[in-house]
Amino acid sequence: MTAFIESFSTDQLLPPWQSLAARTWLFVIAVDRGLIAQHLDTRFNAAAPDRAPFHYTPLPGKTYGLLCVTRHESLSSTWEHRTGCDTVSHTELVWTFPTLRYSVGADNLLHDPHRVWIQPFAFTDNSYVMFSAREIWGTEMGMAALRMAEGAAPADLAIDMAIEGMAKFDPHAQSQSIGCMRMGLRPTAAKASLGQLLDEESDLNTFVDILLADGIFTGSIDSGIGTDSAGMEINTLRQFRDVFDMDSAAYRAIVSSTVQHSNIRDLAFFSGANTVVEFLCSDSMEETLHATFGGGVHHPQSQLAVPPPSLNAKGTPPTNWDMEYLPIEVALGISYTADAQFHIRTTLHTYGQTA
Amino acid sequence: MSTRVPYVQSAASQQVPPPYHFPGVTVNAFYLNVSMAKVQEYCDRYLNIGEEKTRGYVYRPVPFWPYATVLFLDYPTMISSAPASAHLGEVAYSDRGAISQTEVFVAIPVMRYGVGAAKLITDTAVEWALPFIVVGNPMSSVCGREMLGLGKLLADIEIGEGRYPDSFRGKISLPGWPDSETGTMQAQQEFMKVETKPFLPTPTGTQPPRRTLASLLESPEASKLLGGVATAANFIDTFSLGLIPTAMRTVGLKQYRDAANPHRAVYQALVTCRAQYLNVRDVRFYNEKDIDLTFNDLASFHQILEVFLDVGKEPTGKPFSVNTVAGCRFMADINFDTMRIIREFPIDRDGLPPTTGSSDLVARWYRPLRGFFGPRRGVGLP
Repeated sequence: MTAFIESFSTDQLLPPWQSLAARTWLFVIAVDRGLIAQHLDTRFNAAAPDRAPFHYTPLPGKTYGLLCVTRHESLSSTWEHRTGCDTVSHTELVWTFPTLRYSVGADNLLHDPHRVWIQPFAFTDNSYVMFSAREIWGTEMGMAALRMAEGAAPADLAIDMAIEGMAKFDPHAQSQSIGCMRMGLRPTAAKASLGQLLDEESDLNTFVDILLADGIFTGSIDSGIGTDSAGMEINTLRQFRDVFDMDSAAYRAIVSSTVQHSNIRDLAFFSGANTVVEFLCSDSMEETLHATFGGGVHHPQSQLAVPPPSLNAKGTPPTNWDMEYLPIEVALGISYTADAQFHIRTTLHTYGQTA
Repeated sequence: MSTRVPYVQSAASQQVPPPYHFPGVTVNAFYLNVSMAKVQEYCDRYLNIGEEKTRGYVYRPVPFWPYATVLFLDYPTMISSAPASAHLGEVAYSDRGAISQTEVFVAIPVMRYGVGAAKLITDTAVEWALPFIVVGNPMSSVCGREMLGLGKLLADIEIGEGRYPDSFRGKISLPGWPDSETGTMQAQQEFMKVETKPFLPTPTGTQPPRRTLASLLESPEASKLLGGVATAANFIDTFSLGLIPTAMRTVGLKQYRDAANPHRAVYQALVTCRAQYLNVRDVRFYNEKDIDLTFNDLASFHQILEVFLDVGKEPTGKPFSVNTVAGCRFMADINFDTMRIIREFPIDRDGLPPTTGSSDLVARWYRPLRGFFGPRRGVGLP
């Protein structure tokens, strides 16, 4: 075994991870299956130069994804059965959708479909988590300033995110804190029953069944709905550039990990019609937004009544929220508090490995 | 790596490719004594990997220059001049605009000696190890870590004028843990601070300088350094104005963990990059007695300090004051380019023979001759 040479700069949050009392908001969003297929084909199905013995496809039927915002109050490593090691807190935003992963047989036919979740992009406000997520899990995670506030009423929810970037690309532009995303509930928002919401949008039934099966808001451990589930299996493309040839990867692999939720509490559902999710249309985010949500009608201002906060770093210009807004249609809002276990299963395939 | 594996470029990847151009950088440099034993320890752990005979080189400290340099850099503009990926229809990086950032690093010169009589001449080079480097821009930290083998941490870096006009004050805060107890929450903590009085000549200094950088250059040690290095491998342009580098070639260990077994490496290579300092100007010297430089010897910071400072075995939880031997400030334009893998280490694999590894150790001065007269090395072991 080639030993990894430890140093303080690679003193990372080693998996598995354990999060206690994590507060989560999930926004279920319908997404074009062609965009999902495009992501899968360029990241997971492409020959690089060898093909992985897997093939990924979107789920049949109407395709949905989850925009997840989680406040991890106490996230720590449980590496080598330690508990509470390297404890951090952070808030993250993750975009994820379920797909089917088939095994490709020697006959080039697809066998054994298995549901896995893909995470095209993510943001966190903690650099220690970002380095660990990127360098160990392979998550495409960037740094952001994230603020998540809740009050007595559902409508008090305010989630705002800013990144360092450019509103408009221009050779003379200078990067600064720019607004990236806003979330909230309308003043009339109230908790609703899941059954009622599913009656109103029947397409959601299959997707909610997936969430239940993967224990996302029911819990994978001690869920009380039968046997424990394995949780969500997440597949990430873990890749790092070569230093000499920037179009090449020094290392590229598909990593499989799982997330299991437990001790679910404060579960609530909200109608998508009462939910506001909007991204700001900066050039820095344009490619990501286009690849994720496609086009859409831009609004000149936010639909949220509360003015956006300044999330800039000390000594830097205030956050620029003066951009067009891309509202994202939400099908269902879910909030809960839970514990979570994050575990890396294995590296499914390493590209370019020859005898 | 013998098989070319394509990298999937996307905006979310954060990895902005070099080369980079940084005009108008303000640099504050402080020189401190460093233990040769510490430097050798660093070389043996992070650079001299594997058996000497197999790898074909050995890194050692530069014995006549027992100093580490702490550099505070303020980059008002950082531009990537990498071309856009043609097939993606992306906006070229140079057309997107510029970012600014602050950076602090500790640089220690190390000498790479080729093993054997011939390679002692052709493969010997001076490089700079950066045992500590922090930046204020997240994208810069990601690029440095994932592409260049520089262990960049993201920090809050405050720099500016100190109490007096023409003085300097800098402070670094890093995420860390105040103790090693289970469940202790990470917090942003002060790691290091430096404060000077105005640069020379100054009426506010308390004592006359014992030895300024200018006088240090006239010392026998510096003469040996400049003369010795220049004679050995024509590296005179590595140093100007003493230790203000004009072509600082860094060396770093770029490595990735196995995801499921984090103690195992799936990739290890030594990477060098050139930071070329152009138009060095407005050079000013501080009185070394006017420089107050302290590190915070807290629990999780201790492992940083013990790499290049003679701290005790256990963290004291108190500031650790360092005596500087010189300090200066200058401006420069910096180009960051010419990345090269000089040694890719063999990696053990499950069910397959280890990767072969590769070497490209030829010193810069000898590369044109080598390229003219002989086949290119770099694939397979030398």
